[in-house]
Amino acid sequence: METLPRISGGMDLPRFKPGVQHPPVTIALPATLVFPLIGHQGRALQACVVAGEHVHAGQLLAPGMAASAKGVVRAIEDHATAHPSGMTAPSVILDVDHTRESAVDASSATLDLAGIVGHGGAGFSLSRKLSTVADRCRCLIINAAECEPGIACDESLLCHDAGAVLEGIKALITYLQPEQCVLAIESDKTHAITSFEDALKEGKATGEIRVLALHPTYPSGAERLLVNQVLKWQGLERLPSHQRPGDRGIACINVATAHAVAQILNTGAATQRLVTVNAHEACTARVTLGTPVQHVLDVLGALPVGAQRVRVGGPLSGFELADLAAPVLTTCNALTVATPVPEEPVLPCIRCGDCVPVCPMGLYPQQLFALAQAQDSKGLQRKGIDRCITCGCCDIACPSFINLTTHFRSAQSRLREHAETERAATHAEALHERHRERVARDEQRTIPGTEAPTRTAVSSALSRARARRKRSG
Amino acid sequence: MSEQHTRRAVDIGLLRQSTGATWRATPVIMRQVILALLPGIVLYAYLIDARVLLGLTIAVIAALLFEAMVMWLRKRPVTSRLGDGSAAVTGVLLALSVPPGLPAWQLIIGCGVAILLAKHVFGGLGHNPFNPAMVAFAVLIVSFPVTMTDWPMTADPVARVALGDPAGTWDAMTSQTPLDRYRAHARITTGDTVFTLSSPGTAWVVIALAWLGGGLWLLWMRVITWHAPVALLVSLGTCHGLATLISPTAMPIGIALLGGATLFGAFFIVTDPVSGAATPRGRLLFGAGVGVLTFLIRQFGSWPEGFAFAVLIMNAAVPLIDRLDRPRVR
Amino acid sequence: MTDIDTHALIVDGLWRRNPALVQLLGLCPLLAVSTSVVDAAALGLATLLTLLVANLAVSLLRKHISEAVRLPLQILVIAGTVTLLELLLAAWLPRLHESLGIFLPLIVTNCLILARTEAFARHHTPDRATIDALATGAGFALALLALGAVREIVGQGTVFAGLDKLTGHTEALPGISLFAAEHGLVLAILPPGAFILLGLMLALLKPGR
Repeated sequence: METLPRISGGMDLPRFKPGVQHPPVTIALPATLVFPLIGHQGRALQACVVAGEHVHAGQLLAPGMAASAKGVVRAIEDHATAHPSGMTAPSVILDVDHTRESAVDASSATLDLAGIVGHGGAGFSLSRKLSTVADRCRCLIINAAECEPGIACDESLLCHDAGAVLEGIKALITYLQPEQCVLAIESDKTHAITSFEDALKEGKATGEIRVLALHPTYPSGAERLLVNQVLKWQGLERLPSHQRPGDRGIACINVATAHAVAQILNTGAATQRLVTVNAHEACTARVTLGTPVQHVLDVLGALPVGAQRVRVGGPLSGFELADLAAPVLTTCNALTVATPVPEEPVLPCIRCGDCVPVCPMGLYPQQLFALAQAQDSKGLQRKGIDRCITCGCCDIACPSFINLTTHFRSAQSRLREHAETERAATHAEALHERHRERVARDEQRTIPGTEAPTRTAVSSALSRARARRKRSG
Repeated sequence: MSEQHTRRAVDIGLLRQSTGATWRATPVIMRQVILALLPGIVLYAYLIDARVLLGLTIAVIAALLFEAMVMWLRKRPVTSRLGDGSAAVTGVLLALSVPPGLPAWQLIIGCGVAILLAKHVFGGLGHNPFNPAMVAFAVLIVSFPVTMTDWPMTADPVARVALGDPAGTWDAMTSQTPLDRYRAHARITTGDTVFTLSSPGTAWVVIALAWLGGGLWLLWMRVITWHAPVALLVSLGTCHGLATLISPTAMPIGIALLGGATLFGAFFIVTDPVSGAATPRGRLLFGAGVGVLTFLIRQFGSWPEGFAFAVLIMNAAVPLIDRLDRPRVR
Repeated sequence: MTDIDTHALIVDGLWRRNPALVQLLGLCPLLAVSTSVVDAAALGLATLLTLLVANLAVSLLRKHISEAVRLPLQILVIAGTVTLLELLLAAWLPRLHESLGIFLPLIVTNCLILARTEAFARHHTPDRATIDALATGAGFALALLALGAVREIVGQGTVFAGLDKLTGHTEALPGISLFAAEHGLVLAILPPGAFILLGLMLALLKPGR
């Protein structure tokens, strides 16, 4: 096993990995499942089922959103979602049919990836990710790093179901035909590494997939950082800031996503994911996608009491859940039931610069913060706000308790919105310009001028007509 | 698993503590700065003039009172901001920058200038573009040139011998930091006379070394970073080194680095985060700029010690440095 | 346009639209000459006189001045007045003339005066123009006087030092001394001190407005 170098920046956080010792607890299907019609980066999805329709597991409810159990669509209505803002969104509400699924003919199952979104943080569509590197995949990176404390679902997955993961990886290899395939995992997850290496031996794939050990620094598992580390290990240039991993023929896929691929191959649908549950007793739960958080905690006997609240995700990337009716979806990796700690009062920024060395992206959070407060979009872009992965290292480092990441997140979404309207405006302007040109041309053509058309005008009109004829026929 | 245990998954405060060696809250930083100054203060009181303790007390009280008054006027919480210690640090730094015998009312005016004009006019902690202690120093030295250059030297044995008063019968001399003394004598004597003090007074050197020690402790505690102090010392040393190569009567490099405000400033003034640059490269540039300007003012200016003015000029350049320094995004 | 309330004119000039403290006009002489009460008062009076003459002249001539050449003409009127004033001062109060130095002829370029002739006097009757000149000029002079007093007291601990320059006495008048000069905050006499003190004055007057 080879070791990757430590990332620059980042933080060595405590390695708190709850609930990996015991095999995952399967949570029974609830009465209803909820599927919010929200895609990657909050894009609204269009439902392709109607109320009253019978659906089977794996059937698409909307592009990029598959049903995880057999049932009847009760309604498409507003429902709570697991979103930091606590917003509601139009959702497909599915009454689960608890009768046994008709056995799926696994042999006829095709690798239909349309319904899978990445199980990492961003929830990017897997099929889109694969299509960007199809036919020219140089390297497939399976991301098993999970460096935020309090989250251990991927580790648990590797410890207890490495075989299925391997199967999924193999399917991805068959599909992508990469020149090289590596699995990146923190060096201190010895149990998971052993378990996966055993699976490799059993599956006779030892040469095919290499296991790379990462220094367990937060956030070395972030896609861009991981890709750059692997590139460095391969002796290649790191990604320039304008390139995406796909542009260099690299696919970086979460280990849980690989597991979902295996689920599709075996049962025709990826219906479940593992979720770390930190409550009075920590465990890993196998949850059917769309299950309300309330149900999961109820089954585990861990519903919040008193001042306790439920947090989705880890202490850095996560957020407090506003409504327990919100469903567990692919991007939900941990649930924590605890009494929230009162936040320290925020002091003014004293420009100490402690946030600079910890930023894994090499940004200057202090300056970004000042620019964000001044709402200086140009300055923010000049200082690379779009590169911020909102990992939260600067929040921890800040001696004045400023929630820098919150400011950056809202600045990013504001800039994205702005860019979107700008793009729409330029598009409209271009259309208008073309229209005006055409009208001007038409006028020239229809209204005869006082003097005869010049020779060049005639010849250029003729050549235009010729070109048009050639194009059309 | 207890609730305490589960908290580890939600509590960012616990994560902060877990990175304890590198992390501390702003008020703690201020306390550590004062702690780092203590050895130097004790030596100063013992070797030079015990009145510095009185000055420190007055300056700290005045600074805190002014801070409280402004916070009250600005309708902000008074007590919480006094607790952050920044006003006390300003008072301490100012009291250590001025001669120990400075009349109390002048020191109080200095504190008022530092807290009111230099700090709160711009928005209080974190918003002041200029170092408050240095603004106050500049105002004082411009306004009270006589008392502000009245440095005691009776306790400085090397200086006494060198100036022909081994018995210590003189009470005080004006303008007598080693640097001033050097300037004064370099003008009236030629290079090879022993009388010109080829080394600064021992007491001042000892105190300068105490500042150095406190600064190194702050570095080790990661309260400050090495960039600005090292850049300052290197650039100042280089400038003085070049000057001695060109002209033998120029100030020797040893006096330049150990005398005057150099070491005190290198570790306690240019490391002020608020008015200095905030990025590593920016801090290198900032420190180097202060060094070059200090040299230029010492060598060609009319003031005995150009450090405060150099810092103020570079403070004004910080927004430019911030703007020029683009992050190398990974 | 012509019926502007006299009271409003006076309040505007002295306080509500005070040229120095609200409109921040004529800052150059305001900051440069306000080192002592006497200098400040002298320059304030000179400015007031110039403004009065210029306003009156422009108002009287308003029907005969063509639009195209009105600015050169106004400047001509102001410059003529200032030259007259300077010669008179040089003859009668030579020491005051000396201490005001370049700032006396520079009244010509004081934007305050051109602002009043251009914006007010050329549209209004001579009586209105006179009231406006008196009110605005007094507002400027008072601001100058206030700043001069503060700077003199803080800077050297005296008030009315050098009053002889203004009265024409031959022996020097030391003025009222409040404390020893070496205890003064020299910064207040220096140009940066003028900026800082004016800033503080503006800040203190802000809530009253």
